[in-house]
Amino acid sequence: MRKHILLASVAFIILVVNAVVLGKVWYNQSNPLYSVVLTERELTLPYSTNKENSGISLSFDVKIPHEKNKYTPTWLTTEKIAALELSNNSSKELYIALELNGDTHQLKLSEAELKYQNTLDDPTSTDSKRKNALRIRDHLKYSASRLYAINAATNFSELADKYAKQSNVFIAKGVVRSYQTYSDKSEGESDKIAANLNRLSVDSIFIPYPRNQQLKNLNYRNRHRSKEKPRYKVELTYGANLEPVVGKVSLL
Amino acid sequence: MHSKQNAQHRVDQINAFNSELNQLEQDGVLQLSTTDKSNLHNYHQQLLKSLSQSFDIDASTSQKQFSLAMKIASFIGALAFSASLFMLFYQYWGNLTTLVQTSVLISSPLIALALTQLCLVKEQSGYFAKIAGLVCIAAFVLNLSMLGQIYNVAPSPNAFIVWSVVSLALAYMTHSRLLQTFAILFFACFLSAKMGTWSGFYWLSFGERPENFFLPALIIFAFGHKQQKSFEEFTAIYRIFGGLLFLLPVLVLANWARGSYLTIDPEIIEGGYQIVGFVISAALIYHGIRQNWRDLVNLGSTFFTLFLYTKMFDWWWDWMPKYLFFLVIALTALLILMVFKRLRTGEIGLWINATKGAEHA
Repeated sequence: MRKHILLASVAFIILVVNAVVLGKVWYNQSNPLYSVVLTERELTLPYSTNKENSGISLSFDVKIPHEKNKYTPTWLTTEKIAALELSNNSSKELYIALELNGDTHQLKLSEAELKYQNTLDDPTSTDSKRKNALRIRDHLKYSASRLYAINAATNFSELADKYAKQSNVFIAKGVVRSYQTYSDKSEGESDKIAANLNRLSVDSIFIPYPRNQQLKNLNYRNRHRSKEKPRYKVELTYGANLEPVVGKVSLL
Repeated sequence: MHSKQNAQHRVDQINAFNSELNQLEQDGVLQLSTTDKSNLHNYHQQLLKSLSQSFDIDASTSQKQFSLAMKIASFIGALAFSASLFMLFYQYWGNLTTLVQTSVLISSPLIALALTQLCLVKEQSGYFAKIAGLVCIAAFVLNLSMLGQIYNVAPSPNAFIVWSVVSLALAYMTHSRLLQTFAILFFACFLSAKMGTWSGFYWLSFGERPENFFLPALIIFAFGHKQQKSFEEFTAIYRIFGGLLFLLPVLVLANWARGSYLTIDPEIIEGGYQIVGFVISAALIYHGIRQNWRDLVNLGSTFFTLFLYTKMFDWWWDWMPKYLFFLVIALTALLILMVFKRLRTGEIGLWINATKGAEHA
């Protein structure tokens, strides 16, 4: 008798849990918040293919604007870290504002263009320096990701209100990690907490069949060496749970 | 007779009794009459027959060896089936529509559950049911994790508690300690992740704060003190894993204060956890001896030794010549051996005196 009760309970749990999961998926898909079109620049193929795995997942490539020779984002200041209630050596899931091909990317591109022009105008500049500047400019212009994390908050409405009028900004969940930085005490600086975006909560998307067939014959391309244009684009919709839903996938 | 374990214990008792009786007869100490021998033999044969019918017991040493081989084969078979299930799905899922993927994922654990029940009904030994049970939980893990990937759902710790409940139910259905172990580990992951979340951390980072494991360890350890008719073998697993889930984090924190929630001096944290480690290990040994639970005594002794050797490493490794360091370790091991030998001799002496006292009475 007890075994029959256990059997029925297990079957019930399996069915109910699946119903709950699919219910959440349906809710997310039925309440779209943002639509965005990303290319190979922002959604990369896996580095190596595995014969044992026929599925295709594309990984998000999110850039973070930071000052030269610094690892932390420009917008994650000490005040911001305190506002986000991040303690030392911790990680927290927050709402992240992501900007696609916006001011941040254009600024990076302008800086790279200017740097390249400077090497052309500077008679003392070496050939390798010019080539390097050109490579960086071309990379930003043709193949680098245009998706930048530009802000974070503990609640959704704060970011939604702030970027309501910017159609190229959407909000997703991500994990921010904090750590201790050790300052130069001889300069009178004190140790402080810094932070960085570790990853998006959903940091890869699964491309369903039959839309994945177009990507089957494509291999990973090292974009740092290439100025070739992206080969595909993917239409994504972010739903009420801030989880991405894959729409149309097409080759470019 | 409530459980297979009790039944097997009774059978072992009968076999040991018969062996001792033969030896006593050969030594001329005891000689039973023909009638008594016949009655005894008939009684034991009836009992063995009844126990064999009710429980799948090993009546002889050779049967025990076969049972052990079957357990090993069952374990390997279960793991291999589960791995095969995962690989099979990965091989073909990219060529299936979302509807087909979802249907296959939801039906797999249900089919495996039906198979488990069928095996329980058709086969008394339970080995095939245990395999089917493990495949069922593997299919359920695959079910939820793959649905999450297919629909791009953000990962959640709630999957762990669901897997734990299903594993535990299957464990009690099939008398499988392996499934019970999975249930315990899933539960520990769930509660630790939740404690991490309540402390303001992202749940996937729960392993970075070993203190998250203390509460689940205590809960699981407490379960090991609850008498369970027909499932006595399960209580030892609760105790062992409860102890392990507590002492392993203590061992980590005794050497790595950065993982602690406490914000005081790291040396104080490490020192404090070293003391906790020694005290808890000794307490487990004492508790195990009092309750006659060999599993706890072994666990406590192992960790006490580990804490002792890591402390010695901290004190002496840097400045002591290496040959001398290992010599000190070896001498400490000999000292521990001598201490336990004295304790054992003392225990034997106590037992002999108790037996003599009973005879005089």
